[in-house]
Amino acid sequence: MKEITLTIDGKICKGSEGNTILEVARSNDIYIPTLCYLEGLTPIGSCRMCVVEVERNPKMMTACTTPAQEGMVVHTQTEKLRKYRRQMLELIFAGRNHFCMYCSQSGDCELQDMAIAHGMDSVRYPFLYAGFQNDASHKDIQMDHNRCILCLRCIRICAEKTGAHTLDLQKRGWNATIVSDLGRMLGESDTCTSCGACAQVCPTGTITLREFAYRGRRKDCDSVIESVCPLCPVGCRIRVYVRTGSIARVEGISVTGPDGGQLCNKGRWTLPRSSERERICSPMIREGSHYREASWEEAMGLVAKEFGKAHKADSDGALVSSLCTDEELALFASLFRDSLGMERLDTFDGNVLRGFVKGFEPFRKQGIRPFTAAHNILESDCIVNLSADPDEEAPVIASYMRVATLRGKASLLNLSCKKSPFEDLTDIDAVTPSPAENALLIEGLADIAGGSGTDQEKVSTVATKTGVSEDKIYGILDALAKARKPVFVLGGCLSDKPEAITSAVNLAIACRSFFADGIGVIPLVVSSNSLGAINTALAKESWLGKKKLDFLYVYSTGMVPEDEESLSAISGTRFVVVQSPFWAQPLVNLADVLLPAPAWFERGGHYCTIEGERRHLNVVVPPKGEIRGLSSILEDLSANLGVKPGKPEEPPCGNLFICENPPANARMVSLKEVRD
Amino acid sequence: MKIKSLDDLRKIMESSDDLTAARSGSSTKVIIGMGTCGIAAGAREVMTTVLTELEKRGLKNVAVETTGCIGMCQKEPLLDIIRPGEPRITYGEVTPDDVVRIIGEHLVNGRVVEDKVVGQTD
Amino acid sequence: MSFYRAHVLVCKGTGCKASGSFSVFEAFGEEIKRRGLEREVALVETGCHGMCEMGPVVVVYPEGSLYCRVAADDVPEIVEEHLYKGRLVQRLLYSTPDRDVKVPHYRDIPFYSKQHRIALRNCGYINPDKIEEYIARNGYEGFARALTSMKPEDVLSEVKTSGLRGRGGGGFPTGLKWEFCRKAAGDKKYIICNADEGDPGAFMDRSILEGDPHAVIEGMLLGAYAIGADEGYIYCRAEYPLAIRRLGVAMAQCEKYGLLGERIMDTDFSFTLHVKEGAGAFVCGEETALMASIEGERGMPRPRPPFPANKGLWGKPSNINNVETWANVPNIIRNGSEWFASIGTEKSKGTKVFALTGKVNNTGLVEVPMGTTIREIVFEMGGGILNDRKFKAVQIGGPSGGCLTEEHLDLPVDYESLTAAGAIMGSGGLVVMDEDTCMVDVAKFFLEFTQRESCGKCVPCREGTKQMLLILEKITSGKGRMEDLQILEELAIMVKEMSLCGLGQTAPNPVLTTLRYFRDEYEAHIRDRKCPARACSALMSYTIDIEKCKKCGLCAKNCPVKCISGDRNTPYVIDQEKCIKCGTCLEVCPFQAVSKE
Repeated sequence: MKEITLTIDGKICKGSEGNTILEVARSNDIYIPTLCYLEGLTPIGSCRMCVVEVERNPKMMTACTTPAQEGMVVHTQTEKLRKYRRQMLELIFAGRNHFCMYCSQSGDCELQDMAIAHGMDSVRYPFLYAGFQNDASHKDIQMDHNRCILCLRCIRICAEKTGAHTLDLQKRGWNATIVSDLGRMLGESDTCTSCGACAQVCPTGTITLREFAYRGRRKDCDSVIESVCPLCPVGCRIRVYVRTGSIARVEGISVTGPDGGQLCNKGRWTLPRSSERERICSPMIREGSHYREASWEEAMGLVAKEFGKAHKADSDGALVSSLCTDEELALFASLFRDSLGMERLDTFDGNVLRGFVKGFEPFRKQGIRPFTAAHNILESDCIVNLSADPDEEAPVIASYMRVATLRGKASLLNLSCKKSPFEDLTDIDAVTPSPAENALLIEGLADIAGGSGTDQEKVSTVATKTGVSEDKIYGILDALAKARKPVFVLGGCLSDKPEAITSAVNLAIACRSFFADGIGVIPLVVSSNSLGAINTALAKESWLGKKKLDFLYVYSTGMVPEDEESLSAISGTRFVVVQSPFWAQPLVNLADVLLPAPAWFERGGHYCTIEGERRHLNVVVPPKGEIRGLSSILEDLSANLGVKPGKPEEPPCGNLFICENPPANARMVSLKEVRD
Repeated sequence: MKIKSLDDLRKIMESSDDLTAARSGSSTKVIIGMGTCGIAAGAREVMTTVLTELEKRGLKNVAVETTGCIGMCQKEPLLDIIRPGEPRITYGEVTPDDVVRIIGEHLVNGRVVEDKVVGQTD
Repeated sequence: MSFYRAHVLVCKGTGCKASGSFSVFEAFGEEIKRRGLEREVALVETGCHGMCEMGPVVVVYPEGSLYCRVAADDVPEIVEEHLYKGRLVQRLLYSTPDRDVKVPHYRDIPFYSKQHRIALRNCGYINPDKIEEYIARNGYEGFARALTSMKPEDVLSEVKTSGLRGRGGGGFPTGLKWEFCRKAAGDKKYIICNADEGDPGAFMDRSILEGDPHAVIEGMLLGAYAIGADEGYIYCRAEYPLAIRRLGVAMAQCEKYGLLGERIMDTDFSFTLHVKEGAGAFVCGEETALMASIEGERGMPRPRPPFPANKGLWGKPSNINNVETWANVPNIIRNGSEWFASIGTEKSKGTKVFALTGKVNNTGLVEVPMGTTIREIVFEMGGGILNDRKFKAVQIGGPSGGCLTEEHLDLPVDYESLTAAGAIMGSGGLVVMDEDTCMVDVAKFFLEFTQRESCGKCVPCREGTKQMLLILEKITSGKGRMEDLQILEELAIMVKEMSLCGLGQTAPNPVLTTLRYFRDEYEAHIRDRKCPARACSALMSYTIDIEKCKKCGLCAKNCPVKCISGDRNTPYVIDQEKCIKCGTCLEVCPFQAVSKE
């Protein structure tokens, strides 16, 4: 980018061609006041606070939208501008009800900060005592329109990042207000995903989260820690505000990133609430249907005894959660598999992972990385949803799909057993009666697309076998042929048939879906660190439920419910040790011994996310009382079992993100390699 | 028929009824201003009266046309009479009663109804 | 009722009777009977026609011939010639005093004498629903010539040399604007016609679209050719259904003749035109808001840069011009840029259409060469002030414009002179005001409009105009304070400089110009709580003259708020505090004892 030089307030400033005046000013530490501007959202120049004087230009320009030019001479703090800014702030305060005394946001409000910075101690205009609505219809998000300054940040983030475009303006001029869905209250909206991004960006107390409103202002918190959300494979970066040892609020970090700093409903609400949940504070031993507190010696001793018996009879196993960090998973693998020689070690989502691993294997062998970073959906012009339900599995992926379709004008195709989750946005909805037909459909399409021309006979065969009409199949092939960068979103349920996954990658290769980091496939694995589990705790073959065991060690983070199958297998085991931070039902009731564990916010580490990178978690709140770190607990356990925990061999997911061979060299494979 | 050249355009021009008075050939015309200002002032009633009047008198070779707003909105409804070989005369503030007079005096008998005249053009 | 083929009306009013109309009546009766025409001719006696000087007056229908100074001896001739043979008796017909004065030509009528009709040349002349009539008046000749023998750059250069400036209000040199768009990178470009015409009282564009839609279409074809666009939109407000209908008919006819569509006149030039209807927002007349509206978004303006010439409709280079601007273009190409540049002043070439309205005798549309003075427009073409009242001010440019006073009457109408005086040319609305117009009320009227139409995006316009309007309402209802004037002025200046788009930037203009030239009126409203023009009803007071009051009590009986007190012995008095100034007492008083101050 060409470098340009301009003068702002007498200071020589350097910037790049294409920067706005505001960007150049900020990168040169010059302060220009803004209200509606938020880095990462399209600037609209509506609050007029950033208006500056540019020499030789008779008009006043907004710094946030005006491109900086070589040789520009800009003044940001003239007498006139100061006067005008003060007038506008007073007009805002007079226009609606900005009564700081009653507002939960007082002290944390950008409007208030701006007024203080401009010395606004009185308002010369009569207060209009607006009577707009206070929309409390949504159970979590409240919108008091009387505090709104119409900065339109909420509209922009909902449209540009979440992609739902729920919010927009109604009416005109002074009577304009934000509405949902062309005129509804927020709680009645059909399109709102309740992600809370609007509340995060609102500069005033207009949009607030009820639960966290009076818990702690951002400025008042004891600490602000950056970490990663543990609830789904995207692993959104989070900023956690802590007050008196409790999580007051969780927000996304930066609107400039591809995920726009958004979190989903789960991340924003489940995480803060979790710091209030009941904790397992000390080891507990079961007596009948009660638990009694025990000392670590007693508990560990009992565990070691039972383990010893079961191990001799080859009737032992360990089941851990893929929400654990790389470090934790490596520790488990090292202790159970390496040191104790336990064959049965697996993760809760093991089956799904094995399906994906098997399906991807032929391409790994080619040295190709068969998937790409999730945010590359935003670069795509044709998105194929293969049996995924993104709103459930990974809501931010759903946002990417919506944004790419609505704003990027990408086409959206649904190939699955259910109707498309994006009803009004889907161009072709190809629903098959069952997963078997779905797999055949993907296979058939890959075959046709990989060949030369469109074989009419083949199309007809696929139509017959799958129940999807020929018209639709031609439509899909046509859309894929036209696309320059298609992406394929794979739902977790595809892993039931690994060949479906291989077919999906075949199809991607046939459509030349190549990104810099890999093939254009986004696998919606189940948990936040499923990828990290692959080289550590994942078993080579499924063993859970195959035979009744005498000993099972279970580690759960308690943040997501366990699946039926696992619970059933656990309840059939004779002796169960459950290590979990929370009294997570029904799991904890199946235990014979309960051991405490640090919660997600009490330990740090790494996650391998489907955003294509390893992300670092920080300790948000150090563990209290008897709660000890996992390595310390496992060391204790090793000692009691008479072994040393070994050292993990290789970085858990280090090799997963590597692509030795350029993706364009990928070759389609025959399904024989994957079929049993 | 598509216009493909300047010549095609000229042919249409020549074959069109000339609106100017002196060369209007054989057609007698009544032209009523039917812009929104005219309509607001009552041009539709004027139009209806013109048609009725022509029918009552059995005048068959008179063309009745409409035109837009000529700008003198104060004087709407406006009505123009073209007789072969004569200047095109514009009448202003025309009421249905005036229509009867104008058609009788001017259209049929060639005497301009001077108290209603606004102007003439060639 | 039987049907008579002719009616003979004989005036039997006092005047005609005095000159002998009764005997005329009898003579007709006899003659009709003698000729056996009783069944066919009806003889009617009427009252006075008014032209008593010409009596006895006889009118014969259906011709409506007016015979004057008819004597009984003339009757047989009238019956024979007129009723029998259908020939008018010329010597008896009514005629104006100078029988030899020809009917005035348009060019001699004051309303038209100083006009130079270019954009309006066909309006009121041709039938807009017939493309042949447009062609008969040299329509599409300019375009055909340009397409077949001129290069796009030549067409652009002609428009540049002509000096044509945007007629929508901005006055930006059109040729230059076209050039920016032509030079912008990209293959897909759009041409847009702004037919939103939101100024209250402006109807220049409406008349052109209703009366001569082809002029606009031809202009856009030439523009598209010069710039390199292949698609265009006419954004017409939905409140003009007739214009939209006429455009539809005209476009269909063009398509039939191959003047719109693919490969026009067998060349590589193609052009498709769409009409998009507005939905009732003044702000959509602003360029970027208009484009947002076409895109299906909410009609709110966008910051510039980037300019539409580089990033317009759907992010593509777009050129947008006003209806009148487009209508001028075919004439420039057909007659040459030199011809156009020879009209007008040095910096403002050509003509401008003004909608002359308000307190003038001749309201309507006038198209005058730039440089014509306001005096000529108001007094010569407009025919002077209505009812012989005194001229007070003229508002030019609608809600975005300003007022000019008597001292400006000799100002030439051109972009620079008007801006220097504090007004703007605007789209051409010209409202004439007399001594009965309250200037504060005028400012309030225009501000009410712009405040209501504000889109709400930016703070200065949304909040500023609201507060300004509140101050004006206070002043016109007698609750203003002197400090309010300073606050008002400061607000007006800030809103003008800081607003995002033209609506906010020009909304304070009426306020600022009236403050500049009529400050005394504002002060009278505040200090004296009186409206000098006697227009603001809240500042009027109704009083009962004790001398004239006959104590009948009708006023008190009819007063809706019962604020008048008195009785048979005490003259009635109005309680000024409670009076709502409805004026009922003045209406009902039989003795004119109530007066309004």
